[in-house]
Amino acid sequence: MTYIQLDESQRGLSRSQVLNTLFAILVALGMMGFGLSARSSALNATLPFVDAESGVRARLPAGWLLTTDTPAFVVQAQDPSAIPFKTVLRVSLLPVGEDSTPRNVVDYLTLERAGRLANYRVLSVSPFSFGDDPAIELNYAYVQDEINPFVSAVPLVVQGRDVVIIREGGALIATYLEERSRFAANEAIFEVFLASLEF
Amino acid sequence: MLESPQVVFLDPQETPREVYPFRRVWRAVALEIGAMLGMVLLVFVGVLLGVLRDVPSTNWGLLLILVPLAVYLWVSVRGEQRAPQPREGLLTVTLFSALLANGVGVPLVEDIFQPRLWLSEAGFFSRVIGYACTVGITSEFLKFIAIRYTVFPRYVRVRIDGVAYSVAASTGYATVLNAQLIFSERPTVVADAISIATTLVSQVGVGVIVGYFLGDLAVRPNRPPFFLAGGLFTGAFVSGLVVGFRAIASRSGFAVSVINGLLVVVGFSVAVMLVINFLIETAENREANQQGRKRVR
Repeated sequence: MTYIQLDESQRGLSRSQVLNTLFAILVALGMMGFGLSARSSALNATLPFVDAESGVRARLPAGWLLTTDTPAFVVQAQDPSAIPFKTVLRVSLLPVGEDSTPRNVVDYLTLERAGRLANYRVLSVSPFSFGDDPAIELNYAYVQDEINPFVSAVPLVVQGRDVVIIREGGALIATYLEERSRFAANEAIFEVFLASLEF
Repeated sequence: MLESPQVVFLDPQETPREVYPFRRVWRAVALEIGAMLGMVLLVFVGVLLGVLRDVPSTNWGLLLILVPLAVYLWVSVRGEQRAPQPREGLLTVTLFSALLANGVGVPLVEDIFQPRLWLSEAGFFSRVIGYACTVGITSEFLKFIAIRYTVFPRYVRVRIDGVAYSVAASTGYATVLNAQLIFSERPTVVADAISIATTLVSQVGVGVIVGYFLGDLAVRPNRPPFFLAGGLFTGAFVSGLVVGFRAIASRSGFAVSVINGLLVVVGFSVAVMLVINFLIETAENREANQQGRKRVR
């Protein structure tokens, strides 16, 4: 059996060999640091979005697919690489009466979605702070089934989070939709989006 | 009385022939790469003849993982024992490298760097630099650690020893990567064989770069301080290049073909080994000429 000594003093390393080891470790750590920085830039990169008509401004993740030509919302961004559910960030505007509260909007959304989405369930409704405006946060879940009955796919449980903000006769709804198992992991994307949201 | 002269027969004088005292490393590496290609070919033929079913199979995957390890043990470790001056600690380096891969390399790449999330759709240059600074530097650095803190510099007597130990470290590292592939992704048998061969050949092919730099530093201890760091950087960069070109080769043509990726990896590895062999031969010849001694080949 061969016994290998790990005691450095017995191996007679020259000063140059010790320095070489030290610099090799430093270069490796430096390259890994650069790799982490590049990863962070790539995954957290955002692009500005401005809608002059509604006055909505936000920063949306770079590389996501944007949809703006639909009357249902101002903008919708979808992560094209997400599997099996394309992560959604959405901003929609809803005209409301002057004395409407965020709670009224949440009730309207609950009724509207209960008839449209399978197994729609409200998980929680809680107050939310968005500057000086009254806001409310709605957490919910529903089942998304494959429309084509010939495609064999297990239905997905989608979890959603809406932040409803009332301002000057209009309600702004910021929505985050994600497959249930990845909801918490990707929620930071929504937080960044929400922090950049202006209207 | 006269005595008849006695005839004495003298033994013919034999010129002592110097024997190369170490195991031939390049021959062993060529055998290991050949065995990998042979394994892929056998699996292909097996599927074509209907002996094997090309379905996800953990059992077949496990069996295929053992092939490169068995070839390495037979060709390198057993071959070393038969050499006049065997290299010591080869298995220790392999085991230490495998432990580092399992305990540090795989978690670091899969949970922290997560290259699949941000590099799979990136362009060629981004991909090369991205993979070099994540997957490449991690594997080369851990293999360097496995050699540096076990056998270096005591058991590294000639430059080629560095290459031999790098192959040992690469085999251990590749085995863990392959095991991870088999248990996490469950590819089919043919995909298993190609992936296992690709991982092993690329790890060995890139690993010899750091091995050469370590071998040279052991033989010439007064190298400049950034010599080894340069080797590590080169190894990581070549690793990134291999990934970049492998992706291009796999996607060329009308369909995704992983066999093209394997061929590119083999080509890269052979090219790297030819360059390293040239550098070793040149340095050894130069030193032999300076010292006025004849090299044993």
